[in-house]
Amino acid sequence: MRLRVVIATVLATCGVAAALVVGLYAGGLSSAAPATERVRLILQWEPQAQFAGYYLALEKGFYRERGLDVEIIPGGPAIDSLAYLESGEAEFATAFLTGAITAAADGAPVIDVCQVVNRSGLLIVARRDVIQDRDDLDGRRVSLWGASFRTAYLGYFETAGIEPRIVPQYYSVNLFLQGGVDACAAMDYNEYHTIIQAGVDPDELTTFSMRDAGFGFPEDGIYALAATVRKHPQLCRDFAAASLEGWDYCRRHPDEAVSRVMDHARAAHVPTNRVHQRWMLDHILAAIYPGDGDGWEPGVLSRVDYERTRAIMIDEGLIAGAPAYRRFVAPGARSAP
Amino acid sequence: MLRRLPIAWRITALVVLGAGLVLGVVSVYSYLQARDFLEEQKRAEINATAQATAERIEVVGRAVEKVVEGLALSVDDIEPGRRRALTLLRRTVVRNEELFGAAIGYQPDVYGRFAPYVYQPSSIYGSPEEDEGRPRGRVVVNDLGRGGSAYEVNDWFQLPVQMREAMWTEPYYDEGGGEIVMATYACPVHLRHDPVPVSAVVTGDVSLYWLTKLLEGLDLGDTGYAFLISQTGTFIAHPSPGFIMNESVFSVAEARHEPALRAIGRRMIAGETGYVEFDGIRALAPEGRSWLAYTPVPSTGWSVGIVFADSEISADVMALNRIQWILAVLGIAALLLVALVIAGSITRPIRVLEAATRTLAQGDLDAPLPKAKGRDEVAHLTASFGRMRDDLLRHIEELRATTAARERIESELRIAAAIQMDLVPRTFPPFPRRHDLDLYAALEPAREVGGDFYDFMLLDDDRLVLAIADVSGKGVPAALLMAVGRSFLRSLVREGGSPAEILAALNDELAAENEASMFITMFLATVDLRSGSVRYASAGHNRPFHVGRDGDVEQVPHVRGVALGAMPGMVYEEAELSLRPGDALFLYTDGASEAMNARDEVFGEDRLGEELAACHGATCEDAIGRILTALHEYAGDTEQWDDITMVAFRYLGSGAGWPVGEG
Repeated sequence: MRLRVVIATVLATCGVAAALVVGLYAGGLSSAAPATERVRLILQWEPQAQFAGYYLALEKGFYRERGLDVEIIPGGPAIDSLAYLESGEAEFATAFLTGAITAAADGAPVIDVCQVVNRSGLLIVARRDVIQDRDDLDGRRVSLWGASFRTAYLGYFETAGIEPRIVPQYYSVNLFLQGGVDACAAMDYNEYHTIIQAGVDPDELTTFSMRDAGFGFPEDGIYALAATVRKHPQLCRDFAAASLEGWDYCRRHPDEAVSRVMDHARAAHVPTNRVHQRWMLDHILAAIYPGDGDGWEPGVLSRVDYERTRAIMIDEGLIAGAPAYRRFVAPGARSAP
Repeated sequence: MLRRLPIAWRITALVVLGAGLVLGVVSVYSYLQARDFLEEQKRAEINATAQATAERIEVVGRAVEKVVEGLALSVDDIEPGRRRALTLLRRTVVRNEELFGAAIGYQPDVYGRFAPYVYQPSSIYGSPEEDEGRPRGRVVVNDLGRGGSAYEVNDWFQLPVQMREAMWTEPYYDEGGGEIVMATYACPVHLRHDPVPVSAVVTGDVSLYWLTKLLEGLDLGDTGYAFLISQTGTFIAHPSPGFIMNESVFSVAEARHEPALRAIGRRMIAGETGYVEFDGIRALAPEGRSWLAYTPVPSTGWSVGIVFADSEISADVMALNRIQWILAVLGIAALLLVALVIAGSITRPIRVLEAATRTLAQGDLDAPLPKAKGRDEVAHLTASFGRMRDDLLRHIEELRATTAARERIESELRIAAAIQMDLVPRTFPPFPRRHDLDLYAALEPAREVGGDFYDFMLLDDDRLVLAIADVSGKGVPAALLMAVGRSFLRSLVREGGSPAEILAALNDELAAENEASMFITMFLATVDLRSGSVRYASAGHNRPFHVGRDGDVEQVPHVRGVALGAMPGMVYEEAELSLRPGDALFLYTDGASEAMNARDEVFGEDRLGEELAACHGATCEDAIGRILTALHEYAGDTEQWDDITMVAFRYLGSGAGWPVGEG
């Protein structure tokens, strides 16, 4: 009974998609112009290897092959990528899952069309001279990013029964480096390495992995408005497929990928260096492509992960409620029921 | 290998090698000394440069700190007010040329987002615009919180708020303002009655553009350079523009896999002052061994580093030592020439001498020897060679003279021997008309002329005298004595007398003038050819054999008598024997009886007797021939040392029917 519904839905979707493609194609023919759809992708941060797959998909023509004329808009500390969707400044946006759930909970009609990063890279990095184990964090000054990034950390602290004094953390770890806090939030692919590159040795740090503690949630995904997904499901699929192809290219050509990322970083005056971007690419790729024993599938947000994340967020009081799995995740990014 | 070279080359090589070694050691030592000295000097110089540079930055940093702290006090006084805040900022920025800009960021929670910012792009401390000649004093006013922009997320606000102390932020690339690298001194301010600990943050920006120029302006040679890193190790100033803000000491260390650089970086950001020698940190200096001096800028927590290539120091030392090296090379070259000349002059006489001796060795003794100059070993050697040559020449001359004399003597001896042979009768048969006797004699002289002789003569028809003698010694004196003895004998025999009387007389004659104390043994017999009776006397001579006609052989009876010439007045015994027809007498000298073989064994009188017996029936000539043959066979190759003289006489009587010699 249920299977029948799914099949019907899939068939219907295919039909709509086919109609759309035919329509686009016909439109292209009628206007005698290439059948390309102009779409914009807003990233949630400045150019860095975290987004290598999109840059490479653009560069290598994976978008264009699918009839997509993509413009990538770099993000930054002052940019809320999901807001670009609602304002119509972009058709697609990359965002943290918890951030997107928060937005969706606030009524933003955002849909996950491709869950790129399924493994969490969230860490707490602490000075080893004052913090050796989890309980040492209790009462210490710990800087954390804003609300939607805090889901895992808050769950972690609550489970551990500790109450660190939380200080806002923005885009630098200088407060930690200057000794303003005893611990800070960090991505294993970014801030952790930034701290190492500031001359702090790994053996001077204690790191706590949210993933290892059971608070690892999927992270970067590609989002579109529900309307876009509804009207152009094939476009969304093509965008997701091309983006994943871009990531696959990065996996096979990491040096080239880092070079392209460096080009974009230089153009955007983002101070960074190759070693750091290589570190980031290697770690982000490990978070995208499952290793032995990892159960996820690149591009797919599993129902289990989604519901677990949503439950914890509600539990922590970050959100009152959130859309159901099928309303939050586009058909192409859903796990098999 | 050296031994194969000529001596001159060897001497030259050894001298140059030895002197070169000494020169080399001295040069290397002085090079090392100079190097140490220069290195020490350079180290001090680099340290001083690093210190001076750090101080210059420090001065600017301190100045900015003072301005900002002053500004903070003013803000405290004036209370939040947009117009007054802007006036204050504008005045501050215009009056303090080292300041690129200044801002007051109010706590958004209390005052809403308001952060007035005033900057002058043409600050003398350097934005790129400075070079483009923009008018000075032009200031730009901005509100960093305009449009709700969240300035509180920036380090310059966040860090002082959280840490509640003034501090230098990490340098950053300023996109909104002058598009340059800036560092900001941020000072938290608490305004009276505010419920929050930090009401606002007052900042002063300093452009870091000038820092790169400052470091570029340092005189650090061709390879030396200076760099500046922030508290996190990020390059603020560096000769490679791409490094600035992008790379840190640690990122470079990681990229190049150089943990040593990371260790240095950690000491630098810890605010240490140091001086390290390193090799192979390519990120800092690609050319191997280099030096790094580093010293902190205390106010900002930055660190100045100066890298200086070791090769540069070496180059200085080289320059210092160049003259020395050139002199050393020239000295060695000159030494080579001098050594060659000296070695050549030492060995030239040796070479000339060697050539001369080679000519000498080929037998040309008259070839001139080099003149020996001076009194050195070579001169002595030449002189010795000269003496040797002269001795050799004299010796050869003497040898030639001696040889000539000997040849003359030998030729004379040959003549003497011929004369000796001529002195004895050598015609056989001696009396061809007589058939009552058979007589044959042989004298075979030894190597030289000897002293044997024999003689026979017919005194009248019936009397035959037989004599055989042996003069003691050999050679010319013996031959002469023999000649004398024979002359005396002949004259005495003619005067008449018995054999004993003749021998006594002959003895007296010879003894009277015998100054050489030579003597003669002699056997003398007178045969009466009618009766066959023989009277004989002997002067110490071997007893002849009496060979009977029946073949029996015996020596004649002994008669006393000493050798002739020993002393005068001697008396000789005389005896008589009778020969039957067919009987024979065989006279001989000891050259026959004492002939020796290879084993030094004498032939002996017994063997001689046996040989004679074996010749029974033969004529006298045949018998002597056979005995000579027997003696030769016995002696073999042994040299004959004495004359062999034999006389055989057979008495035939009247018609005895014995064979006689032919002729």
